[in-house]
Amino acid sequence: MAPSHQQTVQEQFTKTADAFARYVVRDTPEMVAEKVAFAQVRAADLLLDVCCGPGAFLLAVAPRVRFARGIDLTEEMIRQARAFQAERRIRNVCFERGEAERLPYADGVFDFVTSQYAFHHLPAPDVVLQEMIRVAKPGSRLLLIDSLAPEADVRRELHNRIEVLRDPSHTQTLRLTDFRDMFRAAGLQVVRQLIKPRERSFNHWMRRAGLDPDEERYTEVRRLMEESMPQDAAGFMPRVKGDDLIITHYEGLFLLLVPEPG
Amino acid sequence: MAVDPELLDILVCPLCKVSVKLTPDGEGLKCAQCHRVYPIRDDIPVMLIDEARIEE
Repeated sequence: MAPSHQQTVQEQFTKTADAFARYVVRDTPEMVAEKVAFAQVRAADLLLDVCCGPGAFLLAVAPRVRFARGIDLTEEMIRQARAFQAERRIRNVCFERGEAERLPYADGVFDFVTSQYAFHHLPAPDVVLQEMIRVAKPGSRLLLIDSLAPEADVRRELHNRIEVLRDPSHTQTLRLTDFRDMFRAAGLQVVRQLIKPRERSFNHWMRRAGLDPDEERYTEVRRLMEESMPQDAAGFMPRVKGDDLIITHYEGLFLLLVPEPG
Repeated sequence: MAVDPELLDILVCPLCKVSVKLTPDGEGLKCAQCHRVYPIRDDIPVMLIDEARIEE
């Protein structure tokens, strides 16, 4: 990851650490449980979660596996994750700080490698996918979860413009076809795929990014979102609810099989 | 130093991808190839190239 983008990611996730961690770890346990169920981990698995953030998935999956490691770029995210780990008294978890593009693990050591909601922050998602494959055992599984952008070019561009304006650490949300092409190029077989609409409050979504209604960027994102309503020009399907908007993100969950050599 | 040595077994230098070894003071992980020492802060290995120092 380029040093300047690394800094942007760390600044964004340090600034929003409390709100972000509370949301992903405390406010969405049912969503995390769905992901754990989708993953179908095995009790003997040594699992790695790449860009683990405050550890929502890692700490939820840890009781079902032998050992789980989390790696994240941002110090504050690891601090939050360890606090939640202590609170839940989970022992079979440890953390490292590091770059997803240069994972500090030996080749072929993990039974399961996962990453959630990270790929839209990465300048080179294909490089990270290759690293995830490198550290996974041949024949093991990857779990990749992220938002999906609309397929149509014009709609996708506005979608990403809104996302990047809201959160400067956002690079781009990929389309389902982008993910499928990337998996094919990497030799990964899609074992299971699930696409789910996730409705959320626009106001809450903005607060989670550290933006207040009196900020210029907040106003601009709100304006673009409202302007996108006719013909759903950005693919968020916004609808008015009081002084709020209800918006929808499509979430893609992919369970992938790492190829055996030869 | 509370990091369990067993947990360090699979760690490699993010640049060279060769094993790192715990330094004698237990406060870092050293790559035998590039001689970078990655710090361990609050029991967390910091495996970032920019945070490492080169020790011959």
